[in-house]
Amino acid sequence: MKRSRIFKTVAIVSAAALLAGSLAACGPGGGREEIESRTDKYGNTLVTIMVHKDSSTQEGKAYQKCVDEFNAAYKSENIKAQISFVAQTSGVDQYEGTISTLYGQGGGKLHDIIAFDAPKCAGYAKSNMFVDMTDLIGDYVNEFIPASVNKVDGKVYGLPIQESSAGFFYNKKLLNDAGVSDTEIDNYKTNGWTFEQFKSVCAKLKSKGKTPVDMQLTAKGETSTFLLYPLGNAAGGEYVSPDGKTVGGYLDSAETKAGFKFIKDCIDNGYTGYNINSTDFLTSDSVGMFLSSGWTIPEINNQYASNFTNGWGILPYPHAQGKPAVSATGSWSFAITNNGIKNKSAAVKLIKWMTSDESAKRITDATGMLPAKTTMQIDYAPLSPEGVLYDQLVNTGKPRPAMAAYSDFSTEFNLIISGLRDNSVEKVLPDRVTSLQTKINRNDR
Amino acid sequence: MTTIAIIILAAFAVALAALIAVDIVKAKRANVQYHLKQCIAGYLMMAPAIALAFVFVLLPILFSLGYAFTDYHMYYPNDIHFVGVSNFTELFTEISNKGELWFAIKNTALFVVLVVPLQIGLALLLALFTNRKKRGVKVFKVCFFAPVVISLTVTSFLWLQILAPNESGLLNSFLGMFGIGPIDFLADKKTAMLWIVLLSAWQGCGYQMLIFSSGLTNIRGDLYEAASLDGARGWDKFVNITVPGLKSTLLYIMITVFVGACRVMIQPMLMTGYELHTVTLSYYMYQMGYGSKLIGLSSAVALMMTIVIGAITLVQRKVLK
Repeated sequence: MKRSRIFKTVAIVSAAALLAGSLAACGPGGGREEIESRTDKYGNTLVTIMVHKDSSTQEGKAYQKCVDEFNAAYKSENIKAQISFVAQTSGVDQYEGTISTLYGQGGGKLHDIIAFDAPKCAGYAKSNMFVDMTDLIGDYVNEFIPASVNKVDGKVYGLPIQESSAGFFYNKKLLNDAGVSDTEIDNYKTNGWTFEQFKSVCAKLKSKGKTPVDMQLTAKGETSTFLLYPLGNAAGGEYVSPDGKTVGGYLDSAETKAGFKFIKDCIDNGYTGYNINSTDFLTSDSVGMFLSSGWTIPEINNQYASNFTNGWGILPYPHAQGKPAVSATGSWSFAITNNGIKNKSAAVKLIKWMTSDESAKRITDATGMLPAKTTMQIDYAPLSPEGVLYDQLVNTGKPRPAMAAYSDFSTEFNLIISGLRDNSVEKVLPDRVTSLQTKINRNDR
Repeated sequence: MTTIAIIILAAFAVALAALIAVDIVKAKRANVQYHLKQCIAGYLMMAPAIALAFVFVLLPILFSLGYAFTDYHMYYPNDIHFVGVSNFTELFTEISNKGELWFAIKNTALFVVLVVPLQIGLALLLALFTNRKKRGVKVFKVCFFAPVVISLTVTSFLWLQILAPNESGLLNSFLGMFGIGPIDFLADKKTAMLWIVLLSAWQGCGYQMLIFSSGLTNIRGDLYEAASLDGARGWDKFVNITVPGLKSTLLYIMITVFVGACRVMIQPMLMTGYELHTVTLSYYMYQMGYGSKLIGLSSAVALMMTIVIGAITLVQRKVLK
């Protein structure tokens, strides 16, 4: 027998044995280790937390400061917190990959508390990665804006670090020049406005040769979903069934279609489009309104304020006639993980500390985002940009669909928005409904 | 996971030990003196390379191979079950229903069919141009090679600026001077993939140009001189001397460009995002693994890709030999 043949035989037999071994080793349990608690060499109970930012960022520094203060406060109880910064340099997917790998190892390898993006909560909760905190935190949950608490099937799995909402930033001069008075603007801010009123304002702006609104149709990814999902809900629609498992009859319901048709109308009438430069609203007098999140507020204040000669503001999301207004909510939250550490008392203390009023203020001061707590002293002027967003958050905020296959929902939502470029709502939706249902079924375990 | 890795490592060590044993037996039968110390020294010198190959090549391949037959979900790393070929059934169903995978296969095929000849043709042209002994040619060589050292992310963003669908885009501002546009090049279902092909060929051809250049220098100059004396013209010399002389280089380049083209992902990901008219197999696989969290299904796509790419590569080798 030639050496090459021997080598081939040995290689094939080894590969087959390895494959068989790999598959045999794949099974429930997987040797996940469980321990009571984790202590350092000085006898301190260790509690760990992982955040999604780099330690050099303002937000990262705020988290570090909160942890330092926790350690000072709990020194007498021999509890010590350690923070890890796993920046999302390669996007949220890599961050999630890290969580999954550490979780699989058990034995406290995954941090006791992790930061996560709110819409991912259902997936984590259903996989048992997150601890049901309902009884552990008790009435503490009442300190938060109800729409901001991460609940799945009525149980609390996450507490918001901060909140985010979005609205239509407007250039006051352009609106006034188009015949939209300050009184009318204030009326929309106070009482909300309908899809028809929104389109009427767009028509006035268009008649003045301006691009009426940049809806960020090409923002892609989660940004696009976050900014645009409230419009389907504001038409009275839902995207999936309450259990997150059925799409038919929801995503393609008459009400949800009305939301997409509103977007399509705006495209067809030339009120918005896919070719608008995303900085035009900020840098030139050519775009009347700009759909964006609260993060644009510090951006305008710090860099572009001088471009708005008569000032600027934020208008709330419009809604269909006779339907309640709906606005975007959901930012990053903290959850306690099922990481193989049985005793969760130190983790509960840390999560309460990290979401306390003082910590929330420190973090929102660093990020410019909105606080998610009702117990905090809020002093936003009623019709100011922050005031409008906070008012929306409290009164009309509605989270994105709670479903295990949320990432797939977001992908399909983006495909719908890009599909509206060349096709009608009726033509785009059937394929996406089928595709999303297939993905939900694959994810269902 | 660690247990599986240890099992694989043990099997790998056993296989290696078996090979050494076979060597010893063969040496004894052939009455050849076997120097165990020298042999061990040899294997020890190979050890770092073997360890790296084991960790970064063998392990991922075997894990991926194994996962393709499981229901591994990223959120359930401790609850993995053997599911037979159901992942493959699922994928074939999606292809037959003209789902996203069907678009991914179609787009990847289009990309490969266009980019392989274009990139190789461009590389050969540039190599022929820069291989001439004229002043300043080296400057061109550096210019043509420059895109290779720039990351794909940077070049993709660069082209995004060129192709921006409004007046701020370089190409649209140029067309605007003639009253054309603005055109959203990357949103057009018919042209988006062509732009990605163009960018990829432009970015990659500099590397193949260098390989062709080295192949060209290996062709003896006297062959060209003899051909000139026989009255051969430029084209005749190219067809009868240059092309046969570059045959082995061409085979290598064709295989590497083909395999690279089959794995295209960064360009569509950055330039258009996840769109049906530009999604590719690798992008679909990434989306399935990281987006949908279905590692098992994603591994099945990877396995299918490996088999198809491997088969086509073998055919290429047979045909071009």
